[in-house]
Amino acid sequence: MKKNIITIIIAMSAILTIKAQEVSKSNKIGWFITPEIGAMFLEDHIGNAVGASFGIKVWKDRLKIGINAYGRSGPINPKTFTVEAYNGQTYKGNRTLRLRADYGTLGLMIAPTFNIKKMQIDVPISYGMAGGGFYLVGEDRKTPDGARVSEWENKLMNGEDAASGSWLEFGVRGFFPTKIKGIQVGAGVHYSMVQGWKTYYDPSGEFYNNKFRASMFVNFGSY
Amino acid sequence: MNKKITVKTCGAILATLFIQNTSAQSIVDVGVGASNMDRYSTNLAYRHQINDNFRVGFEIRYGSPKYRFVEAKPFEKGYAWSLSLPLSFKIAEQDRIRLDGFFRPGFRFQGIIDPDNNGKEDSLLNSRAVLFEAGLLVNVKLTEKLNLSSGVLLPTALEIVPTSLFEYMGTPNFTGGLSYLASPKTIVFIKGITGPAFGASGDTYKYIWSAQAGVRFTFGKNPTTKSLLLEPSF
Repeated sequence: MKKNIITIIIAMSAILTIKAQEVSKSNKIGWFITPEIGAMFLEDHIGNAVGASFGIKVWKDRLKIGINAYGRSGPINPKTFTVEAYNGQTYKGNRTLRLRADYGTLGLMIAPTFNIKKMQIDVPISYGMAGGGFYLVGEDRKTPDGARVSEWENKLMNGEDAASGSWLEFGVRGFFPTKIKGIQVGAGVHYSMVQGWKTYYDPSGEFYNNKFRASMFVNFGSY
Repeated sequence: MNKKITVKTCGAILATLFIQNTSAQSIVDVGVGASNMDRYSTNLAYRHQINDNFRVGFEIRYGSPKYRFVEAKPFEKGYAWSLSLPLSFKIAEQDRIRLDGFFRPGFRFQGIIDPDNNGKEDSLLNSRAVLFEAGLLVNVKLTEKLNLSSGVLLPTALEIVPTSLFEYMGTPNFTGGLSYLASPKTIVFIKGITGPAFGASGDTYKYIWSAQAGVRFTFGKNPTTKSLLLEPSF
């Protein structure tokens, strides 16, 4: 079984490489990788995010199809939130919990693309899943009884410390050429919607819903 | 019967790979670094550039734990090392820019010294994990001697002993690096990985970063710009 899997992986790698080289020569299908940093304009603060989109370019580079993902991780967002523990519980003697938030998205992206003089514009539309929640931070991650911290988070927040939902985002990005062909720099603005995501801290589910996001990126790709 | 087919298929593929073996080259990377997992780490890698398209190798990494997990619980005092088999292959190339696919299956051995925290280093809790990374790597030839690398990496760690859980999985991380041909057979490099992480119901990493500096020695054919291509490693 293992040998068969290894054989298949090697064969697929070889086929993919040969095919990709043929494609590259004819340039019928291009590729792009766009690492980005982002600012999420949330209710009372700006969230820091990192992410990337990557995929293929078709129709003479007029359409991008790929994956779009970004994360607003707690460790790069010092903002903390406080909430009373569920049902009068205490944690290390305190009824008030100090929390951080983390969040991530992953979805399919299509982006119609066009040029205005030397500048390139695309309109990325992404659809997929979003997941995130609120978690105990710092020394509070060392639990008093040695249990996993998620067990305590579940208990203290009535099992609603984190959730997932469906995610839809659309935006517009501008790409500017550099001295090196195949590398562009740019910025974009996006509007993000999340449905079905509700947590103990934010029962309204509006924490990430209907929010703007800005991105700055470097784009690598075929031309 | 199946075994014969498998052996023949592997033989045919390897024969294909070694045809046009015009740039076979051996590479040894020695690196030191730090990360949010380890106070310091050392990497030793052997890579073989089979031809312009394929590079395979193996890599050993040792780290001094700072923030690692066993059974999704953090520990600071212990050991961590891993063995992995990086494989990269060219997908596309256009003038100065090249796209490679990247896979790295691996195995990690780590453990906590004094897990019962009684102050005596009289016991050890060992952990084993299967690692797998998949990615897309971009390398840009800035000059004949200087290479810029970037890309996207999806790292995954599945702990299998003492319990079975995804320690972290598949969130896109950035990779970046610079390599410079310092002498005819020596390349110096810096590289890093950073990005969100998620696993084990949120008990483990929320974010991962790793930075490394090192030296690459080339053997066999004289170095070409292909020798400057960097693989990401934690």
